Amino acid sequence: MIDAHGATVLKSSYVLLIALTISVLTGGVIFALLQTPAPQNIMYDLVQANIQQSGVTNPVTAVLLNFRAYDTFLEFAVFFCVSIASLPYLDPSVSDASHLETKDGPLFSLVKVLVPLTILLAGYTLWVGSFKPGGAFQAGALLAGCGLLLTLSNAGVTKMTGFWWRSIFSMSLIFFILVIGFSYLNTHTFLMYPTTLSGSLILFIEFAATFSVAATLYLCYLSVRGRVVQGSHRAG
Amino acid sequence: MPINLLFDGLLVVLILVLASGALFSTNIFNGIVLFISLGLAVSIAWVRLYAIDVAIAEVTIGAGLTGALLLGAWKRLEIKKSLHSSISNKETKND
Amino acid sequence: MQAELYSVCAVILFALGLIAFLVKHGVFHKVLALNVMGIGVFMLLLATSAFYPNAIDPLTHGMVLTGIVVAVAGSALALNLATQVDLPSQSDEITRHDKPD
Repeated sequence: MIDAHGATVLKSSYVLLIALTISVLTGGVIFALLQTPAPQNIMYDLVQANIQQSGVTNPVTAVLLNFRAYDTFLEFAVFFCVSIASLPYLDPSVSDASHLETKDGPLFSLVKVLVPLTILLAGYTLWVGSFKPGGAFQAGALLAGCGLLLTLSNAGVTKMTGFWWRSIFSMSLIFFILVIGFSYLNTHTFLMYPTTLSGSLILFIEFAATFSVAATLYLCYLSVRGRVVQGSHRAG
Repeated sequence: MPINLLFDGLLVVLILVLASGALFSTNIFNGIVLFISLGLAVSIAWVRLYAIDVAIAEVTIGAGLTGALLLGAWKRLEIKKSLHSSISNKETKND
Repeated sequence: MQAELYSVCAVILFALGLIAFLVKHGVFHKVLALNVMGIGVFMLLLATSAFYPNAIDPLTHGMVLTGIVVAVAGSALALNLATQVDLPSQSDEITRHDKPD
């Protein structure tokens, strides 16, 4: 049915029915949740017992990139598929200009200061992920935010369908496969890193993953935005 | 102990109020801005639960990037709506 | 005590997201509701794996990290499809003079 503004809404009796049903189910779930016994904490001790062999000290990084590296490999593959799925939605008429076109005072100074600092911060977050909270995803997200700031201040963006951009999208998978091949040659087991080199191999994979994640997140933003041209109503 | 619990309780109330505001607001722009604030409040909750990597990731990806995505898509649909309404106005004028 | 508080908040968040998903029309409300449901699930996962200070469950944290990134990718694809559809959706129509109930 249509309300006063002409928008479509559900009938209020249906809304009440849905809200009541979900409230009853929520009450049941909360009651069951408060009855369950507290879970045993075995995972922390297991991880701490083996963390010397993993090459890093941060338990989350060790779990993501050493003990459960196969899951992270599959997640990089999912991200690669997302970048393939978002590429056709880019605006095809974008030019290759990449200089800062803004004339606003505050925005120009902000971009001049923030972008180099953010790149530095992303590099630090990537490196510190080995022994403090940080890591590849956080650093990649910081770089993507950098790209977002540049787009919002009218710095032109290049077409992302060239060869080098595509190699950045697939960089994480390629480097991971290289590491798998290298560790197979050393230990003759699938995905078992040689113990003395595991810290460096993890940093190698994270380095590639940062650029891949940053490029894919930036591509997701660009594909949704289309092109908003000043002064004309082009919807992309 | 009680001061920690008080802080957690207030944070939970803040999160629930922001979530209801973001989900049940009539204006979409209000909903998106409240969703970005919800991402920030939830990131503080992750720090309270000793998940610092998750907090950093949530504040950059969850609040920042999802918010920018939603705002970009909203702007694009606004432009499309104004185009369609101007076209239909011209059609009704030509009748 | 802290874990139970956050678990209850997580379930309420999920329920709010589910109600908004079923009741509201329009693609933005659906995407927002799906994201809020995801936040609820992450909160439940993290609340049951924070035991005492400096003794966390790192496996759950890795799962939540992966989940956040996949959720944003899913929202991006959903908004891609939404902005490419040429006709405005029913709930975005301001004036429709010939629409039956």
